[in-house]
Amino acid sequence: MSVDIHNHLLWDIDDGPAQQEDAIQLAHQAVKQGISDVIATPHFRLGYAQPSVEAIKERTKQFNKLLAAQQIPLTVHSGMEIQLFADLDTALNTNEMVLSLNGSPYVLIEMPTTQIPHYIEDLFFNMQMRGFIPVIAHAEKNPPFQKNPDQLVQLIEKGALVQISARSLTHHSQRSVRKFANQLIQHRAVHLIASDAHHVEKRPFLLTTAYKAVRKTYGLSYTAYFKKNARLVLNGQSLFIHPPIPFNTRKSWQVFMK
Amino acid sequence: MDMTLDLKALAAILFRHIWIILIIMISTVGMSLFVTYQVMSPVYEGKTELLITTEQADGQALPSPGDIDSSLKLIDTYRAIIESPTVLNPVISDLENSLTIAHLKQKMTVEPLHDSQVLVIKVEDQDQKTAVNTANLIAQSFQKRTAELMKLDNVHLLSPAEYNPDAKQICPKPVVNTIISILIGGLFAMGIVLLKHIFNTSLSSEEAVTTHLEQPVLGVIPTLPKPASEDSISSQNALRQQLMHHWQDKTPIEPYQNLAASLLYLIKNETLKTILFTSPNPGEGKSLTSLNTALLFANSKKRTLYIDMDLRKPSCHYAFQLPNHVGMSSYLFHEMPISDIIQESEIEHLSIITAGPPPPFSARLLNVAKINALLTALKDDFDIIIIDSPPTFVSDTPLISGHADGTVMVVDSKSTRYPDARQAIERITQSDSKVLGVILNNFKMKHVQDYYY
Repeated sequence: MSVDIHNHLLWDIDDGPAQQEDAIQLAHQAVKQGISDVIATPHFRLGYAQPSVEAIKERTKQFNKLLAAQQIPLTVHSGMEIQLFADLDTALNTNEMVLSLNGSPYVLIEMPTTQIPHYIEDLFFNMQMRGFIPVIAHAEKNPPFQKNPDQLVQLIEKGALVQISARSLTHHSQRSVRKFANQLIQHRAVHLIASDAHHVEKRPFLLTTAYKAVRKTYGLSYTAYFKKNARLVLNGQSLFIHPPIPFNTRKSWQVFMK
Repeated sequence: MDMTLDLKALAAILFRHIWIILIIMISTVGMSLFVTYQVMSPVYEGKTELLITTEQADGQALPSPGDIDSSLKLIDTYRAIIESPTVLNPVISDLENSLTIAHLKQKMTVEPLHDSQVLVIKVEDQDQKTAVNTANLIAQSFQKRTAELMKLDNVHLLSPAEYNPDAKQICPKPVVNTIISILIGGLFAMGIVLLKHIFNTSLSSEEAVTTHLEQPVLGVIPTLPKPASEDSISSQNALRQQLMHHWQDKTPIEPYQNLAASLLYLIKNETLKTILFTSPNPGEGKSLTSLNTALLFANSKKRTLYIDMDLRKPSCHYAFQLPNHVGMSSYLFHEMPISDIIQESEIEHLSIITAGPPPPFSARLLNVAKINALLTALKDDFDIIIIDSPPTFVSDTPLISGHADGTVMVVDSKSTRYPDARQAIERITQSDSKVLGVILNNFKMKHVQDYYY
């Protein structure tokens, strides 16, 4: 049974399902995809989309009751997909505005799509010093990383983990995104795969489909690693990473630039 | 550069590179032979001899010295006549080819034979028959013209040029060319070898370390075989695959055992506990060497602590597949208690402190007092503490090494230049730290398999 650490399963809280019935449908789909635990991660965007911590926790509780009543074998945990902002480390510390994934040290972060901010190194370092581990959400869809993947590699070397969307490894996604997602796997720059499900048809759960694709292309050691990591994140346990391989092909002359 | 070479050393250097020298010599000889036989076309020679007599009264048997002198002057005159168009024009028309006079002059030489009254006309041509023919024609034409011009009949044909099918070409001369090419090739090769030696600043041998760095060699580590490529997610983790307990049988363990033995000797005799591994430049193998040394100590049941102090380029968490969210930087920059940053490794008796999240540029300053406090606090819990530090040029390294009992310099026998290594050792000693010696890494062993028995 697998764990999904990034999806928008809770209804009427962000751009996920609008109605309770849609959420139940999504839950059925998750079970079909072999998922036993999901961490629901509503969007948190400072200033214009700020679901309260209480609302998320309340909705999660409500949902779990509903699932139990309908005998759907799925457990929902609460989390957030937090759009990066400069004070994230202090916000995490006070524990009132934002949520980590299921109360673990892992924090799901949505990176800006225009550029990687200059304060990122300091922020990630301070977060880690306070015991939080940044997880970069759907890195393969982020234009700055697409343009310069070594920025992502550097963030991994600074302690960040990388999550890619299950969808990006299947035929449902654009060819270029699929190619980049695979490159990231080949460069050991992926640590987690999650569904980022929003809607039963438009953005469904494709986790098992993605794991199957990974297993077919790369073998069992890869799927085992990704699945284990998702479980460790859920339980708040620490995971190890493999050394990422830099993308830079200009390395030979960069030596002279030092 | 203080470069003094005695003859014996010189001979030794040349002998060590005998193959380079031989190869260069053989290739120059090959080139010269190719040019001699394939590029240059052979040239043959036709030669006639003419005797010029001065008109003497009959009966006067011996010419006076004055006569000979004037006849020698005459020889010069005759030579000029031979080379004049008057003589040569008929030759060219007889030869029936499109030679010009200038061209013909280039091909022929006219010289007296040993200051005598005999004139030798030599003609060179790629075809022997033409050469012989031309020489004879010139001689005949000259004989005729002198009779006409000077009204003299004193030119006698001594020996006409003769066609000889066995005649050897006069140019090119294979033997001479070969000898010259051997000499040039040999000199050239020796020059290259000596230049290479003079400008070689690598630490390619133990002697180079002891002479250039004046440090003992604690161990010589051969180039490790490349890890077998397996198709799994951990296959790019070279450091992990080169750890001792992942080795295949054929990897020689003896060099590491020798290294551990010499370090243990130092530890016992000089009561050392903390040993810092550094190197002049990045990528010279300090992490791998220190990790494997720590593994050997742990294997011999010594309580070993491995500290990854290379905060900006940490690696030991990759090697041991440990999480790195908590580590040295958590202690240094966030007051995390020492007991929380020590992790147990998969190996018995081996504890690890990983580097932790790499600090950003803004948190550069290293609190050396805290490092000292950590080392002091842990001294009683462990038999040996091994510290993997950044390369020596990073400003942290001399600071850290000041608090270790001894520093080991890892150099790469292929890439480290001894001026760099010397500077690195100076930086360490300036910070009141003791350099224990040098480990010569990535050493090319001629017969690695000899170590396997």
